[in-house]
Amino acid sequence: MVVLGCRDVLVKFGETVALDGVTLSWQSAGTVHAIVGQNGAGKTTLCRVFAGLTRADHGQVIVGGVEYPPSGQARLRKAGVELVHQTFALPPHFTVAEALQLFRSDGTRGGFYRRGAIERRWAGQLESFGFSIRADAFIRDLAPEQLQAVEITRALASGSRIIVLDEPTAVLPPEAIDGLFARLRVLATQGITFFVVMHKLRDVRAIAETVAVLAGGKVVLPPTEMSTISDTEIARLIMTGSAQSSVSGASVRAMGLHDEGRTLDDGGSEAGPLDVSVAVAQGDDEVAQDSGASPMVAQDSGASPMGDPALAGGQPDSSASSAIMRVEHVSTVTREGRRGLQAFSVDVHPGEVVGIAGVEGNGQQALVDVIVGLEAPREGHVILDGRDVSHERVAVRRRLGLRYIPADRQSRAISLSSSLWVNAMAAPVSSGYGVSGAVRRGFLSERLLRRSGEERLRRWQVRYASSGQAMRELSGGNLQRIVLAREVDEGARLIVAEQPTQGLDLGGTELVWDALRRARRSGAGVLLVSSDLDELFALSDRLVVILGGERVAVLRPPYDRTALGQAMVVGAAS
Amino acid sequence: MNEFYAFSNSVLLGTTPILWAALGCLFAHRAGIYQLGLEGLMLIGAFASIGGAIAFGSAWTGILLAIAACVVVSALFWLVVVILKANAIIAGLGLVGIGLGGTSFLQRVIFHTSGAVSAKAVIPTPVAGTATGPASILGSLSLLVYLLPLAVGVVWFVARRSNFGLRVSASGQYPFAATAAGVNVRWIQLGALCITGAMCAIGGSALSVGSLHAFSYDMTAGIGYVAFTAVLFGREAPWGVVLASFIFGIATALGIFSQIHAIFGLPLEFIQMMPYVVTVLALWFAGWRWPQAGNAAAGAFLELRE
Repeated sequence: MVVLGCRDVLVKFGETVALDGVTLSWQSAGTVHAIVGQNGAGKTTLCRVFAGLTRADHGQVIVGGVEYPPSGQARLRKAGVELVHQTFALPPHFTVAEALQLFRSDGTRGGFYRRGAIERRWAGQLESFGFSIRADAFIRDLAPEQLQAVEITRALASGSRIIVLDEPTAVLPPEAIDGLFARLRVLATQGITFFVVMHKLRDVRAIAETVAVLAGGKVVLPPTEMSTISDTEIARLIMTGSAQSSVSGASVRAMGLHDEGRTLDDGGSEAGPLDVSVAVAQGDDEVAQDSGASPMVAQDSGASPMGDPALAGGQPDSSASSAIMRVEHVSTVTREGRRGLQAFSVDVHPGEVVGIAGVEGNGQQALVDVIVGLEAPREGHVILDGRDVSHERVAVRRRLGLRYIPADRQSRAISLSSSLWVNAMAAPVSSGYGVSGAVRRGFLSERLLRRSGEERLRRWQVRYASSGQAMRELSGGNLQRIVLAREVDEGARLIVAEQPTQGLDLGGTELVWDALRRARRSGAGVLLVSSDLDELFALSDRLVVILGGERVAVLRPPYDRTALGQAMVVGAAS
Repeated sequence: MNEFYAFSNSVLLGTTPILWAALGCLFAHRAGIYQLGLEGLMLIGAFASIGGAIAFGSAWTGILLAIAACVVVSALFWLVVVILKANAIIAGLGLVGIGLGGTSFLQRVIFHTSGAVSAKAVIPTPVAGTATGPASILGSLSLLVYLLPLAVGVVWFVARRSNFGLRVSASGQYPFAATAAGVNVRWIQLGALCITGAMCAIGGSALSVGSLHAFSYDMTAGIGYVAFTAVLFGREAPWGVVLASFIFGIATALGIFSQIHAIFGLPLEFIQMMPYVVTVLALWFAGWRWPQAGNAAAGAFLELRE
């Protein structure tokens, strides 16, 4: 019997075709099935169609052997496919019991409830699914993995046997992912069927029994047993639908794969298929050494780290005089009065990527804010291009070549309600650089500015209908492209990249890595703040470890994951 | 001692219209809508209840008419703010204007006077105004005052212990969650606004058929705004709103009291300014102490504008 499936499903949003005749079916219950694909491949839309939240324009959804045509959407919604959203649908001011009660208003008399009763009821439910969360805790006080647990409880409590999880690992800290997987496995043995949408092949390999691949709204791989397909093959299928026709070394490494030719079963002794760390820790060297033999890497010779003259030249000279940016013994105090940075120093040289590694919340934010000019140091100095800019405005710093790719895209990097060209040109205009060509009779010309903005967009191959359209109409990868178009320009001398690939798919990750590598090649310095160790290993010429606002270690390649882990958690490596 | 009883009586009298309106407005706020038109709704309620009391000879029928009128006006407000996406602040101020102008206009058309319109039918007062001793605290207060404890209990129960209450606050705080739970945010907001309207109608009636037994132009004199402030100051929680309303009621009573007794030799006008000074101070205190208070309404308000 078909547990879940669909036949010939077509979904259009205006002119955009999100799903183009998708036919899929899964037979086995009580297992975990993965659906993978790039951003914009139609995964989330498919999830919503299964849950009856988005209406298909054409085609049928099959749940438990029963067919639901588009006209049967209301029935489909009751058919018991529950979707756990990527963004948690839990009001922050509610208690856990209240939030669950909002979704399941049964167990009340005449629409009223007693607080003790619903707390007991939901505490029991949470416990029965193996989650230890207090039902009287406030949603706003919960960690992401606990929020997810509440959402899963919500889905299971409806009696549903089919749960679709949209990007369940994207919101979790790395250490919480194993816990989630263990929980899913236990629930699967109880007969619950899970469908997980994912980006990282490493995660897919860790949890899923079958995988299906979507690309450009079409099925490029029907549900296939994980044991019968290699990661490299899946990666190729994912990338086929993208604008880039070739799979570069960067993207393969981004997915946590070994170099070409090494299959999962005959992987290196300690480099198990699920442990990407080792592969990446040595990856750069290994891939570089056999880059000639590997067709996938060969296509990417330009972006391959060994192709970089800067890197080939060895470690950059560490004399302070040549640094493009120096942070000298900076200390800060947070708004709440707690200590931020502690006499922290770091310098970045032209043509160098310096990675900042650390467990989140150890002063990374303060460091970035001090450099980009959003916070003044209490003590110490920030030197940019030989000039002390510790107390200078953002505009002055940008004119000296500072560029910033913020982690919080929506509140710091872009304005969703403004148009594309305005977003691409806002920083140059407000800081006063690179716009002299748009001045006519002493005034800025909107027409010329827009043209110059469009030029930036074209150079970065942003896909858009009109440069006057609002940012919110673009997908996540395209948004980051516009940030890059603005921040990685000719004037860039120091690029502060903060979690630059968070939430991006393989294509997007590759684009960002490529951009940073190219910037490095052209002589810019890059300060990379990331919690993705694979990313830090793949890009950094040097790693500075931050702990409690202090600089506790400096690591150089080849990186050792264990040593780094120790430095991140306990400070100075032995 | 008699002066204390008299003062307590004034506090209850002054708090009653504020508390009725504020308890209603609580629902609009929790649903994420700034209902700044309380003043207009109270005027409409005050006028309609006097009109109904005159026409049907019963103050209770007058109150029902007032509730009906305010619910209809609230539904129109919902249409303008939620469906047509007008700015809620501007629409609220417009509602005040309609309340002022509309009642004054109808007063001239129906009763051919611009002075006070009085009704013979009134809400019963269980304790006569001639009572002495502790009983004089309740002297000549209408049943609408006695109903308040019940109203507070019901409002608390509905807001904090019912599925409807959960849906209202989910709609206001985090519409995304409400939608995901299958709640129609717009309908919930309509319900919340209608409750606000109905309770403002009772608040307005407490002024007209409940205490002065007459309607006159602009008889609310800013009580609606004070009630709005009480909701902010009370942090949108039922008990907080009760407390805030009493603080404003005490300030109002001081103003009335000072007309009879000189307080520390302060000028009468200074004392009468107190309710509004207290309002401003309360807003400042709320903004300083709880910067996030009222954010829920503001957030949903922004979302509505999108």
